Amino acid sequence: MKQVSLADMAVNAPVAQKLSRQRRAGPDESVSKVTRDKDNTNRVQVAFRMDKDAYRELKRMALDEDTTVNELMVRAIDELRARKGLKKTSG
Amino acid sequence: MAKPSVICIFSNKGGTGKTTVAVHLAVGYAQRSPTALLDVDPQGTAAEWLRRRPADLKSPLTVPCTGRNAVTRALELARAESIENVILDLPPHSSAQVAWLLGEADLILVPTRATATDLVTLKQTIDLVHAAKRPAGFVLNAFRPHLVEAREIAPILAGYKLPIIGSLGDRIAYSRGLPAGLAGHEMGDEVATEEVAKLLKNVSKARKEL
Repeated sequence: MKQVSLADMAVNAPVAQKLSRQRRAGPDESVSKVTRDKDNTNRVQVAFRMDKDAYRELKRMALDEDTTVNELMVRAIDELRARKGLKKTSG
Repeated sequence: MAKPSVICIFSNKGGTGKTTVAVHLAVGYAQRSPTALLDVDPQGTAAEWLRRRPADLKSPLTVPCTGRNAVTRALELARAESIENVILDLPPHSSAQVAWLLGEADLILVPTRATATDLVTLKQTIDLVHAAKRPAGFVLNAFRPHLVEAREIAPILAGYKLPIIGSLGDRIAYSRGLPAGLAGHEMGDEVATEEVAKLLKNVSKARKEL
């Protein structure tokens, strides 16, 4: 697989020109989604300890997926619950 | 892999000169060392400037990247490819993404004009800048030193506890140069050339001292 360089992303490169045409053609799908906890009436805030480097990786994962660490944690807990035959949390 | 110096150009208000300052810094730095200009503003003015730029002129790598993933990727690539200067032209609003990017900056520059409307809305911008807890300063844009406002602006800005790092005058070289893909100092205007050189010098100094 070809490594993408910054020049490939730039306007001064054919790939970037293609990207910019896509941008002009329609809404930019890459615009980040900001997730907010609008209804927190049935949720509690939980604090716990974890490995520092693993937490950094988790934050990076959240950035890469345009989501929040909170959302990733809820997903992980849901997977654990599924393994134990429990239904998904309400999130 | 040396970390590039990241300069965010930000104001919550539109029309203050973010792209003007970003483009002039990017062109100035590109003439000395590898430089990327990340156009984070969805209006894409900086990217459009590059499209109009004559191919024979030295240019910064200009990357349109409005999404968080794209900016993260561009910053990672800038680091991997030993880009020395990354200039971010931020959008004129506050968002989680803007707050995150301000926190990534080695220096935040806040362009402002010496007009009542700019100064009235400045507090919101400065609150975001202070929240980022990064070195920051003002750049006066479209500055007219002979007007009364020029004398009045210094004490007002001093109240925000950020230094004035530089200024670009209200010159045709800037307003006509950008639509042609040029920087003001590439328009044959000697005063603009001096202003841009001074701005670059002051920004480099601020990067070391602030």
